[in-house]
Amino acid sequence: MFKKTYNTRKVRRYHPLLLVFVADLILALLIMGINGYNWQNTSSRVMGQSIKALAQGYFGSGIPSGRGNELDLSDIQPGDILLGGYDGATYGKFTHAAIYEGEGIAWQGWLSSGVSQVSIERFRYYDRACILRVNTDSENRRQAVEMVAGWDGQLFFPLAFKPGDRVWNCTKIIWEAYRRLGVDLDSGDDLWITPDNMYRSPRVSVIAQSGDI
Amino acid sequence: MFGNACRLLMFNVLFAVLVWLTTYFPGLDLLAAAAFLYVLFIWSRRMAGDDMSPSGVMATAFLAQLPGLVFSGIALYSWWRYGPLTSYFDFALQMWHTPFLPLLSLLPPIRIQGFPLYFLLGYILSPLYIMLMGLFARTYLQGSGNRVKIHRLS
Repeated sequence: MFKKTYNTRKVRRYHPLLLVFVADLILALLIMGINGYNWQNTSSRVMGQSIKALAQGYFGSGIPSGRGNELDLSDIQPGDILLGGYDGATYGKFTHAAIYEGEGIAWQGWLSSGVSQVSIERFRYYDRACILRVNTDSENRRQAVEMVAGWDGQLFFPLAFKPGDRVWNCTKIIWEAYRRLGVDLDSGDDLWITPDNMYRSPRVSVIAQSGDI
Repeated sequence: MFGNACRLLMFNVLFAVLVWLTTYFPGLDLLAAAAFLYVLFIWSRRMAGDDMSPSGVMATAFLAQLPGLVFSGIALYSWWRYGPLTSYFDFALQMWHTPFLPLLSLLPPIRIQGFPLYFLLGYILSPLYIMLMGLFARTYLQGSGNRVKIHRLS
């Protein structure tokens, strides 16, 4: 009888953990199921790529780092997308993105500043950088910038999924602004939108680039 | 105390994953964050019910929040030492406090000295968590005190 009571207490102590663990598993499988993930193609997706990179010891994030580059910023226009990246990053060749507003200022998503402004000169610190122009009219590009500016100060979370408008990362703010204007810049059809997905999108043209891309 | 602290720590990690996954379904994440707070409420009251004093509950919560306290300590130190650069510990801190993420996303987007409120709150969330657990434990003791008084009156 004593043994039975002891076991019951032990189960009661651990059951919240077990419950949350099962809920984690169910949610993960549900999200993967909704998005058509399977074990064969996972390696080609952002998650597979990040797991591989982390296993190889690459923890690189959006922080400007590297040897620097010679990106020509002279042709940049409002609504253009700036990408920067360095070797050893976790989720692709490019690790950070921002949308150009004008006067040398762009909008970005950043942990310590949320959705915020940044000098475009910052993109010169990366190993590689490029400017993308979205294939739409200049009015649409201006509206996209205004939309991102409207999210000023909102929360940044690096692992933000594509749905939702309370949690952002650097790429999601740009993708969502253009998506609302009818231009989907995601070429990966994944759970997340990454700078590399935007670079490969058929809806953008490369205006300038520098470094090993 | 150590057993409870380890379970609370594991609970934080597992719930961080849960809340992150629920952000895929906007709205559900708010429910998950509320559930996190509710479980903490129940947990601290249960510890108080097992004859643990509010300071004992706070000590348990302190041990459970050690990763958060260490991350915020190192992040603040690197801030003080090298200036306001975002370090990997800031990222680690945000990951650790993912259970609170939906609630932080509801804060007004105001800045203090150029830093958003959610970011600055991240540094004091662990001490707040510890105080909250102590407060929850006190509500149990106050409630049980009233029950004793009512029993005596009857």
